[in-house]
Amino acid sequence: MIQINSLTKNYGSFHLNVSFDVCDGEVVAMIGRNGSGKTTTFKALLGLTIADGGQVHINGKDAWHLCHEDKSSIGVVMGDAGFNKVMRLKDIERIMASAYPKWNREHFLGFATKYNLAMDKPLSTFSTGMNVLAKLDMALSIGATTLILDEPTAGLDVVARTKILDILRDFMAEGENHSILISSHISSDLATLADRILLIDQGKIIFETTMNALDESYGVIKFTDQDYATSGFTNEPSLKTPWGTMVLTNDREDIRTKHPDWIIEKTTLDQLMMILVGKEEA
Amino acid sequence: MHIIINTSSMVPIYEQIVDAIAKEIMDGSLSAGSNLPSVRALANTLRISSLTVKKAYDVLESRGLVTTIHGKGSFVSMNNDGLIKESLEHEAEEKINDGLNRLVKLGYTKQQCDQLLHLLLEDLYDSN
Amino acid sequence: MKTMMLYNLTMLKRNALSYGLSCIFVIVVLMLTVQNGADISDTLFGITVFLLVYLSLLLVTTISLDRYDHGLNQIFLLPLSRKDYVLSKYWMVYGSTIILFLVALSILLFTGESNVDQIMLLVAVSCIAPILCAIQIPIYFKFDLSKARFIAMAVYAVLFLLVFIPMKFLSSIEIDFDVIRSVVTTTPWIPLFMVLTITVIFNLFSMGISFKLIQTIQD
Repeated sequence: MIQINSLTKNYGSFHLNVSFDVCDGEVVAMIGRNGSGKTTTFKALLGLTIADGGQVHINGKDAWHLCHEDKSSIGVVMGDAGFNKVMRLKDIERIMASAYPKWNREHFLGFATKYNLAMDKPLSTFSTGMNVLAKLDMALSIGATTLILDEPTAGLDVVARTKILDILRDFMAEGENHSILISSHISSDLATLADRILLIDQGKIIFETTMNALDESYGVIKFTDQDYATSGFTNEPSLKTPWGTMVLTNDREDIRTKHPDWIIEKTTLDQLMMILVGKEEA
Repeated sequence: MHIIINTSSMVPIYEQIVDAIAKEIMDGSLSAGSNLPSVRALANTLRISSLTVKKAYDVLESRGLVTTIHGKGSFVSMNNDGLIKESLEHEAEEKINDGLNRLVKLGYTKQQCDQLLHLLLEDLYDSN
Repeated sequence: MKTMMLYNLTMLKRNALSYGLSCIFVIVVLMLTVQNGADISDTLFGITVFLLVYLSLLLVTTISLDRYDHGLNQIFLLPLSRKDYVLSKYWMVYGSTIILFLVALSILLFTGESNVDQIMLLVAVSCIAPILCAIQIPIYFKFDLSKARFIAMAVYAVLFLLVFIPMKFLSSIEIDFDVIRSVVTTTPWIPLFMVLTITVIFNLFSMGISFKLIQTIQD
């Protein structure tokens, strides 16, 4: 379980201040524009970036002073952390085996074989997808109960992405106390995996919901400009488009009943983000 | 258990799951006492959030169709042919009520509702 | 610690070509410039001593290599402390110093011309590597490869001046160095002791600085 309390980091004019939890058995996804603070949050909670304030607890212990066993319960896949590209998986296996008390050599080798990851070639010869799989292999072979993944599927085609999502689903199924904190730009991926969504913008979490609530109650109403003006929804979150205006509502069924002629759709994460943070700065 | 989710339907996913499982219990494909997949396993299979599956299981439990034992999982309730029928009747009643409520909100009078119901029933029995 | 040593050794192995080639290059240059008439054991001895210093300085550059490909973040994710990471760099230097010292010592002993004075000289000369590395390591932690080299040279220049200027000054007030020299070299144990002390002091001081620096490094 991860508990983040007022995690603060300042870079010039950028101020990060986030608080949230990731409970056992949960998959929490963070979405937001580039530069909104996703990677900063991840690096700060892992101690790779020195936070300016706040507390982070992982399984009850201070995340920035974890003992070796506790560090072994966290598996990380991020673009901003990786072994030097001259290393081969063979070398990495030896290093990880020496570093992690619960290192599972059979799992590491089995996974590499299953996904055709060469043990004898330097990482510099790996494609993007193979690199992600290699990092995932490492993260899954240390006996981790929590995975922290920063845009693990970036740059991958849908076939590769589905493979990785399947692996993550298997991870969740393997333990009641397993949890995942993931960030991604690919909403369709998250829709099939996440339980809860956090939308971060300019260093603050501005919106939170469960995928279930999104499916059950949220909706996007599509108006022409004329209809929008007279809709009575002009105070709701909305986004102007070339064809009219989209309005976000969290009372979909009620509105569908009252206005059966209105065009109302289930909200996608992309629409959610565009409506809530898609406006250009003034 | 065979459940297909219609992602473009306006019916919430948890409701679709409830309906699908309830149907299988009713027609006997899910026998009394049989084990339902764990919340996480079903979520993985259907590729949806585990909270959605949890809600579906909770609804099934509140209708008496399913029993959840903490630590052991969820099971189709025993000895409830009567209960199932009762629960399905109750559900159907709710849905009819819901439809009627919508008509009333649209301004239908009691007579109009009555007329509509008659028409619908005739169509229904005729086509069968 | 053993994980970091394994990591360091792996990095050296993977970069063996470039590290090895540069050492061989140095050896060849040395051999070509060695005076005619010098015998094999002297040459080997000289090469070993030079390698001692050169290799140690080379090892320090692995600190910069670690930074590539976000390697430092990966290291900090491993279950080892940042202090362990720092210590492993110092131990690489001490380890190679000891190994090369033993090699040079064996050569000395096998030529049969050894005496206590020469061995003590060897010990003193071997201390050059840890001293130089003590100066370099914090610099390489703080700056990246290209800047670090220049700053290291600047530091050497400063240290040189710190010794040279007072000495020039003292000689201008006509202090008799011969007297001091004869006192200090009454027994070779004194200069040896001085060199060892300087080595220890420099290294402890250097470690202190490095430990502080590593806590605030972020990639």
